[in-house]
Amino acid sequence: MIYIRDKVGWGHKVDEREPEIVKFLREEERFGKLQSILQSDCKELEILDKPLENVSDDMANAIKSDTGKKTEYSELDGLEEKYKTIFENSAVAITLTDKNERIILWNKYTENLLGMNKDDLYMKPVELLYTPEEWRRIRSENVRQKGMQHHLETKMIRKNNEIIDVDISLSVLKNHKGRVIGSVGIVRDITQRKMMELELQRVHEKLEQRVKDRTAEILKSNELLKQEINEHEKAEWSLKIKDSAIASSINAIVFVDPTGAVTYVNPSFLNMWGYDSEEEILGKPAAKFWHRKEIYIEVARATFNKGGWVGELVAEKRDGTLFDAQLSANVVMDEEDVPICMMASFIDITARKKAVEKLRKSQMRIERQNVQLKKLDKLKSNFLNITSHELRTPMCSMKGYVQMLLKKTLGDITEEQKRGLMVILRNVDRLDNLIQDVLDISRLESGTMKFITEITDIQKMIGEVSETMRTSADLKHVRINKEIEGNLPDLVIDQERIKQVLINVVDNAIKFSPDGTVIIIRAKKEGKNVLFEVQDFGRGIPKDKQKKIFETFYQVDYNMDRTFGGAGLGLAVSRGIVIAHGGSIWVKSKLGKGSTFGFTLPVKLVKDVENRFKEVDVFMVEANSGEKENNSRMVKYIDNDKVEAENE
Amino acid sequence: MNKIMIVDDEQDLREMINLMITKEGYETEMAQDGIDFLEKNDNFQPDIVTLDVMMPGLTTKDILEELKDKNNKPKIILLTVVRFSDEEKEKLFKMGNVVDYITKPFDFDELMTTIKDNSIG
Repeated sequence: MIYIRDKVGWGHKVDEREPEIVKFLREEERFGKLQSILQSDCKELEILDKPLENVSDDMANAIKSDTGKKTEYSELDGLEEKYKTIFENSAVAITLTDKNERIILWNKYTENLLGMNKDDLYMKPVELLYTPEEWRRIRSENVRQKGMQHHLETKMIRKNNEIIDVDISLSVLKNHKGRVIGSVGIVRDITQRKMMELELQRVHEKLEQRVKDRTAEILKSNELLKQEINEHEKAEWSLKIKDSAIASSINAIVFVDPTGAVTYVNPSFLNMWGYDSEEEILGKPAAKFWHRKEIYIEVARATFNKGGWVGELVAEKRDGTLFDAQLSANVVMDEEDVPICMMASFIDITARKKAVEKLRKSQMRIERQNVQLKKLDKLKSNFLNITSHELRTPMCSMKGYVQMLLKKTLGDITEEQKRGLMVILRNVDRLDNLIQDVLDISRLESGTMKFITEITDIQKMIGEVSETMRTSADLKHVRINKEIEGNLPDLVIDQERIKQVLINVVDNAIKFSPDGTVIIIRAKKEGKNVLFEVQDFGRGIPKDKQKKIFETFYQVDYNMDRTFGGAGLGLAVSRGIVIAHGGSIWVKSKLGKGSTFGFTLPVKLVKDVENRFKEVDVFMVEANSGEKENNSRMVKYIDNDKVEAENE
Repeated sequence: MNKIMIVDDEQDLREMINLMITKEGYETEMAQDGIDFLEKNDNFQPDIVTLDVMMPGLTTKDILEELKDKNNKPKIILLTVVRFSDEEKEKLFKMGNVVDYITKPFDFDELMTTIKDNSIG
């Protein structure tokens, strides 16, 4: 009887009469087998010479019963040897595990495959051979419970931590009672295959990538081709447009090759030079179409040398007639900067030249006319001065003698003589005023009136006017009131002429004022102007006559106004003077209520005098260029002015 | 008493002015144009001259130029029908002894005042 003690401390007895088992135990030390028989958790067995106290009889019996069966093995020994040989020499790794999944048996190939030896394998949990993930997967397959053969591909870890791909065929081992006692795994190294597969896949992927790349390349080049076609079409279209633009250009266009031969002409060229078809021209020397060939050749040479030329040339038509052409030439180069041809465009400038010539002539004519006009102006001015002198000199003698007589310088006179002399003096004055007005109108209309400007204090000027008019106002018992705004600016005006305007207007007002009434002279600033007003409370002017009173020799009612004298020139002269000063004049009137004459004068600084009197010049030029008949010019100005009326 | 010379081509006017002035007590002489005036100037030696600006023959400018070389240089009062611009006045006043001007037709009082204003003593 021999005894076996397992690690847990249980003892087991084995009958020595069963020599095969003992031999098996001693020699082969295939404890695994025993272990599987004992179904013990022990990792190591020890053979003892004496029994342990805590021997389980049942267990011993069980061994006995099992070993009883093992006697059958011996009969199969020869066969086992063969299996063993096959097992050991198998080209696959074969491992056996016990029911606790510990490695108990393996063959040589297993060691080769895993690079491990007995120490690495014996009784080691089989899970150590797998990567943790793979182990979990294997477990999840639950091979044991399924109790069947199972195939799977997984990864194992070699001793050097290298991971290898394997194909495992797992089979569950059961004892005679059908209880699982372990499992056998047949492992084939498929790393090579996997690598091949991987390589294959890689090649495949590479191939696919290549196909993809190639497809993309084709698509791309297709797209490029399309674009190219598109651009080509566009370029062709643009070329067509350019072609048609050249062909339809109003400018004559010609292409000349470096030998001087014409290679292209457009229809305008044919038209301009009087040819019917381009066949008559193409290939011909370009010099043929110019009047002076040597100049053209010079121009062509300059164009090719400098790349361009702009200027005028005299062209020669098919029928020999000549015309002036403006030429703009350029050289067209190829990619290597070698001139291909000269392109030139032309305009027929004959008409323009004629027009310029005509303009020049007409300018000269105008200048001549201007000189003549100036002479004429001078003549007119002289004539008027002489007329003035001639007309007024007799007045001067008459007035002087009458004044001397009245002053009794030449002796005593009677009252009747005195009355007669006073009538003469009054009428001499009236005649003198009339002469003065007629001459003024002539000067205004001929533009020869002279304006002498000075800085003028309005308040002072109106005071003087009012003083001058006092005598005639007193005669009619008419009072002159002044309403002058404070701080009025000084004006740069011909003071004498503006006084003349005011006197005219006030004189009119006095004439038309009933006895004992009032005349108001107003002056105030209004925007950029100073506004002057003279208001009377006389009979007023009908609306339809209000414009006409500013016309020469017009009076509202000829018969009526004979009573008051005057030829009606004063207002026309006044209007001319005001307009020449850049102002305007008008009347507002209500029949039976009276009239208000108003005029404006622009407020301008002294330094603006010249500009102001440019307006006078304008007036003068207008007056010069207008017709001489009657008073049409004055009427023209009057129409442009404002006329306000408050007629019922 | 100042001596006055009246220069005017219009006989009536010349005589009228002459009458006006002599009645006021002045010694006078008359000339019918520029040359006449320049000739009489040396003998008569006037203090004041009323000079018409528009006469045949010598112009006012000519007369004033000529007067520069004369020993006797009277004060000149111009008689005119045209108004002078400041520029023209300046020119005339620069040229000789022009002291004033009167526009025709003038009043008796206006002429006499101007002469009195320019009289010496």
